This record gives sequence, structure tokens and C-alpha cells, in this order.
Amino acid sequence: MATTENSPANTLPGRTVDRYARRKVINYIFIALTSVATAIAITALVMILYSLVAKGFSGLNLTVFTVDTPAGGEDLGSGGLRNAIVGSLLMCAMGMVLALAIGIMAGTWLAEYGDGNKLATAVRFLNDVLLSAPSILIGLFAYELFVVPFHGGSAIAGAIALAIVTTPVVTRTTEDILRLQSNQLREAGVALGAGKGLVIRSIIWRASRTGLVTGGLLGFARMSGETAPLLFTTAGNQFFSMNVTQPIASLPYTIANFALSADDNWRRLAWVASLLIAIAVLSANIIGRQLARGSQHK
Amino acid sequence: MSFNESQVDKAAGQATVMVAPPAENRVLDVRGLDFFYGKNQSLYGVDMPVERNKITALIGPSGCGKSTLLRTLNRIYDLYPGQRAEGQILFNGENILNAKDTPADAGPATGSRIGGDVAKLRARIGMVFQRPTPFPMSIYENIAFGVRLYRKVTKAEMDEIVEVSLTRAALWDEVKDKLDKSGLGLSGGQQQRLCVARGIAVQPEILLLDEPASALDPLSTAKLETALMELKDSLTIVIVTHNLQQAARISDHTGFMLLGRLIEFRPSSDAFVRPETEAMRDYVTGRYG
Repeated sequence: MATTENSPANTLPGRTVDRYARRKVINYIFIALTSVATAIAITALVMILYSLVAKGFSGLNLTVFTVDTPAGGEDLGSGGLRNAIVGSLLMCAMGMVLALAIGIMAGTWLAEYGDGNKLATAVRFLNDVLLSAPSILIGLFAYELFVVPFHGGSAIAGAIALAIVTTPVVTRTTEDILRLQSNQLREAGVALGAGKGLVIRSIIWRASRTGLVTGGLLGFARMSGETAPLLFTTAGNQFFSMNVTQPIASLPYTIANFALSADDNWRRLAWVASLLIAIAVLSANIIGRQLARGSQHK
Repeated sequence: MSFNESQVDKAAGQATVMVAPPAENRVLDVRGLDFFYGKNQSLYGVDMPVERNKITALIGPSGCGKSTLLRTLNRIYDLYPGQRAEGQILFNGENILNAKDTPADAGPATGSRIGGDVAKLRARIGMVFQRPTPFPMSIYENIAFGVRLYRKVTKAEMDEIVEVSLTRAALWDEVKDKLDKSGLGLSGGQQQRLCVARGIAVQPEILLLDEPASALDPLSTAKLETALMELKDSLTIVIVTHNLQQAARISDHTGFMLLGRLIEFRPSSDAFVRPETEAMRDYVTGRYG
């Protein structure tokens, strides 16, 4: 490995053992380095999860789900996150509908009609750029487009911002998943006389069902933790609201607001909100991965 | 598997050695067919008759163009921009290469390239592929899918179509109790017969098979061959195969292809016993250049 002598196929026993021992040592060092790196990464993850669970669980009670966010300065343990939870669910649901509708259609177009098409190459590239764009930029964009003209944040603006963050994820996974289907399956549908569109809708999509659901769940996981797009667009709301044209509360927004305050009760709720998001993201990821694994075994 | 240059030259210069079925018995007549993958030409002036209610086998070394030829017969190559065929393929006297209503280089997004006549063409010329391609739905739905594209039938009629098609594909007895189960759960051989059943359910005149048994074990292959032999009564079969015994067993006519040309086309009974061309003789005896 590290030896530089260019001895051609030296078969002397002593030298062979010499190199072998050296290789073994290098191997051990390499394993040790990778193990340490892994340990550091896992330690960080465990510490985050630990503090989340420790501080989040202790503040968790039934009123978290039944009472809205409290005003500052109230007793520790009072108030809840009902408005933020409902706001998050509402915006995630709207955002997912948008992201899935656009993402699945766009991904399908890229996979099924995009070969050798310059526009498709451009769309794919821009989608990848959007995929890694800082979400605060997307928040600003949504703010300019959907908040400024209407003189105030709203749940719709938040949902659109979330959709913009998630659509590239769904587009990308959809394209990847559809490309896994064999061309012979497409040809088999066309050979019966079905149009390409029908083949895609009733055969290719169906064959890719699990993968598409997985992509949706991973998109949801990404979306449910996003804070930046909501900061400018939803304006937050201390009260319960399901009016999509009005400002609305959300978990990430509440965390951003409460976590840095001096109010103990607010900080407690920030931890609880973080725990809830972590649970949502984790379960979406686990379910998504399980589904993906299940489909590979078929 | 390589042929020496003298054989290549011969292949380029020779006309097809042909014993053709009478014109009135031909369901397909390929005339002067050239095929191009982009700039690369892969078929050169192929003339080939296909006799009605017979099995025509296409054999030849890999890359000789036999699958390409098969794929022109139902215009499946339309799916791929850049692939084009020139010449004539007469199906009941009508040139199917003219069935297009938009130019071949129009983008697929227009959706019209496989509409109209070409869809009807595919209803009458079915295809089974090398790998089994069951649709991700129940066995029953696999068959009903194609039928529904063309006809509105009652549940009872559909039940009958499904049973008859599966019976003719020699699969009914094995699946009659699990028609609502996924087609993906069947064995490879069963899946392939399901694809045959699916193809014949739309009542085509011709069934094209592209190495349908190459992924099957001998027992499954035998079942498939039996099904094909019985189907001959009601339709015409064109099969591409690498298995010479299979071609000899089941086919009435055999076409031997080499380097994009049809070298020899004769009744199978003669072609395998006394190949006329040196190239085919070398191929069927396993001797190459």
C-alpha cells in the first residue's frame, strides 16, 4: 500500500510477511479512524436526541395539545401548542398537496418525456439548484410574491413557501423512481395499443407506487422541520386560526420565537415543539425507508 | 461469435436465398426495409414474407438485426426518437410504415405519434418480450387492461375473455383460483404465459415474440411452446429466438439473419437440414468464420 519499491512479484517469504504486517497495521489505523469519526457523529446525534427527549418530555402534557400558546410571563406549565400544531398540520397538508401535484407531474415529465430534450436538461439542473437553495431565500421569495401584495402573512403564503422547498425533493425522487422501471414494461403497455400517457398513469405509476409514497414521506420530513420559509410568510399567530388567508401559528415559528426568550414557560414549550417535530420527521423517515426496503424485496 | 470478412462481403452482396409462401397466404410482407438507429443503419433491404397462421422464426447471431426487424412490425420503435424505418411493411396490403400521422421526428410530447392508426395496428399485432412484463395488477386485470382499450364488455363477457385467453395460453388451470392475486406473484414461466394471454385477449392477427423463452427453464419453455403451437390455428406468430432447437421444433418458416440482412428464408423443415448458404450452414452447425 504505502511501499514504493517497485520490486516485481517478490516471492521471498521474509519480504511478503513484512508487507503483509505493514498492510495490516495500516488497515487497523484506517478502521480506527473511521470508527472515531462515526462515534463523533453518533455522539452528536445522541446528545441532540437526549436533550430533546429530556427537556421535551418533561414539559409534555395533555394541555400542550388542547390549549393555545400562552402570553409571556405565565406560570410554568400553563399554555400549550394547539394553534401551532394545527397551523403546522394545515400548512404541511396544503404544501404537500401542492408539492406532490407539481413534483410528481414534473418528475414524470423528466423521466418519461425528457430524454434528449434540452428543456428537460435545463429543468433538471434548475431543480437540483433549487434542491440545495438556502430555504431562507425561498422564504424571502415567497414573502415578496405572496405577502407584500396582500399586506400581511397568511397560511397560504406559508404553505406555498413550504411547497417550493419540497417540490424539488418530490420531483427528484419521482424521476429517479420512474427511471427504475424497465423500458420493456413501458413497451408492453404500448404494444397493446395503449397511449403513452395511459401507460404512465395506469402501469408505470402503479409499479412505482411504493417509491412515490416514499418520496412523498421524505418530502414531508423535509417540510415539517422547515422554519425559514415560515418566518416571513406566516407572521405567526398567538391564537387559534384555521383561516388560510390570515396569519397562522406553526411549530417551527413558535420554536424560533420562544426558544430565545427569558420566559421559562416559553422555553419549555419550545422544547416540546422541537420534540414533536423530531418525532414527526423521524417517523416519516423510518416509514419511508421501510417502504423503500420492502419494495426492493419484491 | 465473429464472421470473417469474406462472409461480411458475401452478406452485403447477396440477395436473400428465399423459398417464399404464396402471395395470397401472406399476412405481412416486408419489402426493402432499412432501419436506422440515429445515423447507424442496422437493417439493409430486408424482404420477408410472413405466412398467415404459421410460425415464422428469426434466428442469427447477436446483433444481426432480428429483434430490430421484429420491433418494426408493430412500430414499437416509435417510442424512441431517432429510430426510423424506411421501405415497406405490408400488413394485409397496407403499408404500416405510412400509418404515422405526424412526421417521425416530431417530439413524443405531442402524443399523436402512437395515436390513431398505429394504436389500431398494435391491437392487431401483439408483442411478448424477452423478460416477462406482467403489469402491477391482478392476473384478471392484466388481461382486462388490453381488452378495455378497445371494447366495452360486461363483467360476464370479460370473465369469459379472461378464461378463454388464459386457457389458450395454457395457464388457466394454474391460476383459475387466484385471478385476483397480483400477476407479479407468478413464476417466470407463468408470467410469460400471462403476457401471451394478455396479448391474445385483444384478438390480434399476429403475435410477435422476442426471445420469449430465454429467461425460462426447460419445463416452462416446453409449456410456452405447446401454447404457441396451439395458437397457430387462430393467429400468426413471428418469434425471435437464440434457441435453434426451438426454431426447428415449432416454426414453419425460418429466416436467418446476419449483419442486418436476411440471408436465407425457407421452410424450417428444409432450412435446418440443408442450409443453402455457407453462413447459415456455419451458424446452425456451430462453426463460425
